[in-house]
Amino acid sequence: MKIPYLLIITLVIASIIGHPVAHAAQAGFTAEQRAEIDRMISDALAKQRAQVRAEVVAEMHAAQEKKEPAATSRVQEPPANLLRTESPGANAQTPQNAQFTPVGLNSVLDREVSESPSNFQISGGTDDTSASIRLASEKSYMEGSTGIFSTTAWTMSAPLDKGGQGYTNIATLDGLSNGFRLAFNYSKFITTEFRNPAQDDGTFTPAYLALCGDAGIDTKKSPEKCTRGAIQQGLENAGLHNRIRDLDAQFEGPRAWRWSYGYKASVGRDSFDYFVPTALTKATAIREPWGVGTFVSFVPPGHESLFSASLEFQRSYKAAKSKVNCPASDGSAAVECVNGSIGGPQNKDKHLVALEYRSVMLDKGYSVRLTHDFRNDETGVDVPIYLVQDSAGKLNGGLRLGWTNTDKFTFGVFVGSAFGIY
Amino acid sequence: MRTVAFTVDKTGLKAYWLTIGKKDVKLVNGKGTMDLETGPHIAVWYMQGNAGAKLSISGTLKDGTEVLSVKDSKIPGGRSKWADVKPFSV
Repeated sequence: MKIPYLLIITLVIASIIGHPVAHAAQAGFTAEQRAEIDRMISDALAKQRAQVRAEVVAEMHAAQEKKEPAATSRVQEPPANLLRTESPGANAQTPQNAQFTPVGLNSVLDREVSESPSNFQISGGTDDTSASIRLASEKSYMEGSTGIFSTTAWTMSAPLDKGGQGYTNIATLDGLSNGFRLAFNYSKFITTEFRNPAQDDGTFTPAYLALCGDAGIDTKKSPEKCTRGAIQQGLENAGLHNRIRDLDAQFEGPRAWRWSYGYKASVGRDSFDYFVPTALTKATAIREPWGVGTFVSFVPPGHESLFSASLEFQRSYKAAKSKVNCPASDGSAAVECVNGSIGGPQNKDKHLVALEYRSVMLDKGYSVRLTHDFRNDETGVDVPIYLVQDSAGKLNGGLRLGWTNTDKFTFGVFVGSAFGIY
Repeated sequence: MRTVAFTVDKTGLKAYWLTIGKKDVKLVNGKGTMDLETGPHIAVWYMQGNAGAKLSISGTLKDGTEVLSVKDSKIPGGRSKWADVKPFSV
């Protein structure tokens, strides 16, 4: 039985691109001839599948070697759910090597964690009244014997929705929330005359070792015990109080100034619901309060006292006074009264200049703060005197003396945050 | 030379600085690195703040070995600044 090979090739191609054509072309053959044709087509398809499979396997081997030249030294078994199977055809058998690992993912997991710190840290928090997101950066470095410490912070906050779902939307697609605030703060702290009792070879300076020895510490056997606290304690125990000043001088010079300055800006968004006067219809007003300010402060050498000065411009708004109002009655219908703010919000600008001094006298802390509002020509003096200590021994309460040009003298007892010159 | 990663955690401090020997460790958000020779070194730290404010320092090698650990170094009562030292080896 001789079958034209040209016809066989035609039929093979036809079977690949569409079986109906192949079946139609076989219509004129005997059953034996059709069986022979089917066998030849089947053989041809099997050869073609084998060829396609070999090519796919070869390509995937090449691709894997290109991506992982040192694959033999870092073979990894990926989790089953990270494996993917490539199938060249619905009827084709899946080659074992067609499974591959997403190399990019493992590369990320293998990468060493970077040691370089990010410039900003983000944090969120809540207090009793508001929720906030803070983006802050602190930098600490030295220039010669001068230490510099800068702080930059952005803070977004909004009132806490106590009756809601336990969180506050600071912003939504509709806009910023009512009571939203965005604040920027920058400050720089500078201190001079740092001294260092350590040397670059991992030993202490002779002067520091001498102090350590005077404190009764064996500097040859246990130099690691020469901490400042241990030396100070040893000097006190030995009655060498005059040497404590020498110990302090190992870390800082006698003319060390401490300076700080900075500036701040804030903007917000407040929504006020009110009733229009006379018509008593409901209305809403949106206002944007803002403020800018700057400060400078310093601690003179050899003192535990702080002098500071600040300048601040504020624009704020407050709702009009709430009251019950009733429209004029014409006698024909019942009158509906309203209860709420009558009239839109009122703005109040302040141009504040403040001077402050904080110090300690007879182990009691105090501060004197003088504030003048140039916009409204108001002056106030605030003098808290810290007399009471908390359980940790920190001064946190006492008497508060005050004076304003409107209310004159005020006097009170206060409990608050612990006293400090900062 | 070995790279040491330093981390400073502060509580209530106004400012702080860290040196190894006389070399300044530049810190960003309390983190910084320094290449150190193997052998002894001395960490020196300076604090500014109110009494009771404190910091902790950790220094670790890349393999995770902690070579320096300072826990809760505080500004003493009656002071608004403090500095201290601690020898360590790399």
